[in-house]
Amino acid sequence: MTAAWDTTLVSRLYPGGALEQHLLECAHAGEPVAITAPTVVEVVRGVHATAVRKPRIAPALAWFVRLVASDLVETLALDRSAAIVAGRLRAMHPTPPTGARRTGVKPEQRAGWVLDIQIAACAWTHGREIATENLRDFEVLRDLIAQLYPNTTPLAVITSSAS
Amino acid sequence: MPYSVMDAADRLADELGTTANDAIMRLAEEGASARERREQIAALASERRAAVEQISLDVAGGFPSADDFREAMLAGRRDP
Repeated sequence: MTAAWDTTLVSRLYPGGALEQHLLECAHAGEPVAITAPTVVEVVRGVHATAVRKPRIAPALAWFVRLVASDLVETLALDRSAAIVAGRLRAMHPTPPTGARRTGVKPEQRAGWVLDIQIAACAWTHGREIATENLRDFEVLRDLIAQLYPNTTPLAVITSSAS
Repeated sequence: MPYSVMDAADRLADELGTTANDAIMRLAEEGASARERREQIAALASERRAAVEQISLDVAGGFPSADDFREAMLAGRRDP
């Protein structure tokens, strides 16, 4: 079973790079890397918005869309169960735990936190681990999920190098 | 005729005060309509998903650097 990659890890994907090579090997082994739908939202939004200002970014958007649309990655949907978990997590912890460390003004920090909540909810409800460079925030989410659903297997949070 | 269909037809006939044959016809029409609706939804979904995933990859102007690409991917956490 492959871990779901969060946005911090997906953002290191590059054509011909080591991470893309790893992704191709996983797909070849019949265990495609998983990416959550909220990560796809975040990446596509960021690349599209940047491409509007900097047209040279446009090929990167096409590359990423093709990757996500292919069989090389599995996109985990923000489905009914994930939506319920995400809503409860947001209610329990409306603001990010590491506000001082996050960049941007408060609304931007909150937007990032909501995405992280959705990513964690998707990974957990789809039975995946989460591979991230943002251990601290996802460990908070792991603990909140464990608090909500104490009789279930908790979300495993692993560093990106272990994915 | 499967028992489950006959049973449903009998219940519908009782409800509408009609014959079992008429109820079977109504159930068939309802089933055909539901099937047609499912087919329409599947066709629309297929058409829309194909449009979303079809994107032209024109790299004539070059591909952005890894740093620029990463910055763009994470832009949502910085931009208002």
